[in-house]
Amino acid sequence: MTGFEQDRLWARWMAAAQDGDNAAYARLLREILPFLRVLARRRCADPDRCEDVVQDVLLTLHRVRHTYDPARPFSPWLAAICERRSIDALRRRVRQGAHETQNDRAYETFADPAANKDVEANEAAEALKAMIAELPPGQREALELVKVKEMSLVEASQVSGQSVGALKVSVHRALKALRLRVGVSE
Amino acid sequence: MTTDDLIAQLSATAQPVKRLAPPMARAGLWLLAIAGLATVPILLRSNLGVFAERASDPRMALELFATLGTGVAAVIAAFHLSLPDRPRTWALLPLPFALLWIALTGWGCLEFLPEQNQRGWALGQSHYCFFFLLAVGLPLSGLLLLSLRRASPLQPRLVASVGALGAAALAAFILQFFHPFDVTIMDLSTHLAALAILVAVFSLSGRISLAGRR
Repeated sequence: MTGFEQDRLWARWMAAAQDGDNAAYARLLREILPFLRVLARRRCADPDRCEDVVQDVLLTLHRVRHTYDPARPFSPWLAAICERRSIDALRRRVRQGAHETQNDRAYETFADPAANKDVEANEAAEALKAMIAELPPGQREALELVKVKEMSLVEASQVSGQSVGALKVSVHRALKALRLRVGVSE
Repeated sequence: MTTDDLIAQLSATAQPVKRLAPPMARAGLWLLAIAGLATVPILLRSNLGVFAERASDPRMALELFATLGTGVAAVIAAFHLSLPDRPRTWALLPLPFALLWIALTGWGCLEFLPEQNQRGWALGQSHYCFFFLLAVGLPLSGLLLLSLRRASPLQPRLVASVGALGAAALAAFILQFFHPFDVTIMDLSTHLAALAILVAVFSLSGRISLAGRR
């Protein structure tokens, strides 16, 4: 398909979208993405920021879609919006750069050390939960009853139906397996 | 949100929209409406005989043409600039008219310079022109911006500045019907000051005043 044919196709879809054809609108928005990404990359090296610009262009297109005249070419109309939004994003970045200093540690820590401990503890708990879930069923049950729910071996034996000796072995193996997973040698 | 999610959301919630009329048609309609509004006070309150006599002078006729031309060209340019795909060079459309307008008014002022020296440099009636231009120019600019914001301009400051220039020039043209004397340097200064104030106010507030449909 030539550029001219593609433009006429997009113009037709856009005209249909203006008239309320949502399927044509969805098709158009998906089809123009590669075109928008190429245009956005001309002014932006960072792929994440480019995608932000592309999304901004889609939102702007949506807001000003009533200004498109189907008698005129579609691509220049779209390119002008993309150009405008890319320049706005660039200006925003320059403005932020002039007034703000990036503090990478600010994203990693909270001012209150206790808050950091909570976050770290939550993350560790999630990781441990995932590792326990991967243990064999017998070991997992023994560990949960004896170490997590803190039952005595006798109580755990009554709940699980395993003998006290079997529970001891299962808990020992489970702990050994977890230590190996987190890289702690005995 | 991913781009695919955004597309799904936009396309699912899109409603049919009414296309904007071509910018020339919108500008023409706006100018006609303003002409209609301005005709009533001009017919009722101005001295058309004096105006016709002054307009018979070729220099004055050219000055009136340049003033009206600046207003009309700036309004047309503003309607074009409010659309995404129109080049920024549209902003230059009123420039030749504006230069001619200022040059002719300045020339007229120079002719009156000896008389001005005799009369002194007091503001005289100039403050009347200043307030007239603001009193007419401000609502005209406001009405123009109301029409322009329908396009949700992507360059609101430029659109508002050019629009305010058009409104100020139209106000200056209307002023000529109530201004039965040639422009002195003091008049020209107050005209330019009023024009600069209008353009500055609307340029600075353009981002807010034209952001209605964002």
